[in-house]
Amino acid sequence: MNAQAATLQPDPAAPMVEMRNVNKWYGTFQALKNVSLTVSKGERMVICGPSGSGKSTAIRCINWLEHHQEGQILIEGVELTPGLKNIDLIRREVGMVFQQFNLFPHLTVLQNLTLAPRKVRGISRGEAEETAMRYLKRVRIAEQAHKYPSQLSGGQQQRVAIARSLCMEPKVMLFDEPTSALDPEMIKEVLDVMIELAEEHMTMICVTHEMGFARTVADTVVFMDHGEVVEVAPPRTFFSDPRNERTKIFLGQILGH
Amino acid sequence: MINVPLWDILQFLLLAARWTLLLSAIAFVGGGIGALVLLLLRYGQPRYGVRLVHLYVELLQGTPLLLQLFLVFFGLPLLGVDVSPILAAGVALTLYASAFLAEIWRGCVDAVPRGQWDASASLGMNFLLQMRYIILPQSFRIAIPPTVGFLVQLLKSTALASIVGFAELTKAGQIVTNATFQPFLVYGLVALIYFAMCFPLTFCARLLERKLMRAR
Repeated sequence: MNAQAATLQPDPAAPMVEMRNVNKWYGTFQALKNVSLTVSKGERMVICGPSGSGKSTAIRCINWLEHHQEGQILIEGVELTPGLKNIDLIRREVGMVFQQFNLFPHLTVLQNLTLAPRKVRGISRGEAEETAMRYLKRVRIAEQAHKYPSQLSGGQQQRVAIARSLCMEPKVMLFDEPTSALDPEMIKEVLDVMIELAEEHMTMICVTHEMGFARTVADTVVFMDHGEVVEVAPPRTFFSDPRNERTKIFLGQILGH
Repeated sequence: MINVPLWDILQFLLLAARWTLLLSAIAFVGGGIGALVLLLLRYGQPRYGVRLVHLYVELLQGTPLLLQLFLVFFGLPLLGVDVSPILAAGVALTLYASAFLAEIWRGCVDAVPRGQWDASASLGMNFLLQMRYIILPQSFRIAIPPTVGFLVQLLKSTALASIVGFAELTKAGQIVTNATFQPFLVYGLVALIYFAMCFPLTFCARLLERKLMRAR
């Protein structure tokens, strides 16, 4: 179980993530309909839409947690295909933060952060711990390093989860409704960490209902509904001048109160 | 009626109990390894492993252990393999234990939330790393009570090996009874010795379970 020395041959000129006409069905239900999205390096994209619109499915397809049936998904020019043996090689470059945090409950915070760098990237324990402490400081939680996840609040757990992904030094970060499971007073501490990350030009794809976050840091806002990409626009035009009728209705509902 | 001192009876039975313990240990270790392999097949790629494992488990759970014992004991010689009673009993009990443990542990693995697979996968961990560091450690705690429960059952099931002529505790009880004509006394002692072997198992399991609970 040593670290694999294998490498991918990404194309540096290719966009970070590209989805081309992606279709996905669960049985007869079509979850994604012809979804095409391009995320260039350093771009910060926010995907919003009503629940069941396929936004989580779309983001989970990007690191192959869900498999699409038609179309193409490319990470730095490397296509995700059913025969792909080196999916783990792609995944280590793609960080993901989940709604339910998904920390490893049997490991301490520090172990949560160092496990994958040590076992997947083959980094020494000392070096991995050093990196982990650096990221824990960045998410302002270094003093909790030796606690277990269950001893932390939701907001703290989510910041640990973000740090855990960052420890793999990913090229792109996926956020799947990172604040939806949090109490209101904890949302800000997580958003602050995400805003900092965005300001450092980390490539980010973020499924969220936090429209304030979208307005502040997104380069692109995507609206999805019924498995389709309905509208793609920079935040300024997206919020002030949405083209599509469904976007208008959604924004009316979400910003109305 | 021959008058045999109680101490001599007990000594004979205790010596035979060693074989019961040995046979249980063989079956448990062999079955544990077998179950782990079945488990990895069950969850790994390719997917036809699932059906294969399912068939194996169904077959062994759906037939009496006694018949499995007969099939190994009388079947292997047909294939030209000469089997001693201990080998036959060891093989049959190992196959039986691996099927049951695989099924028990499958339930424990399934009890680990889906998000743990997602999170470890998204960190680039392959199947074996996920199992080794994330899934199995979390299954372990839930697995202790049913596993020990099965181990106790397995230890008692070794009594069936007496039928193919393996001189373990129950067989020894029969032999002594035939000599002393005191079935109640002898089988009573046999039962007590089985209990003395099983009780520490359940007791240790409770301690371990409590300790792991605290560690959370």
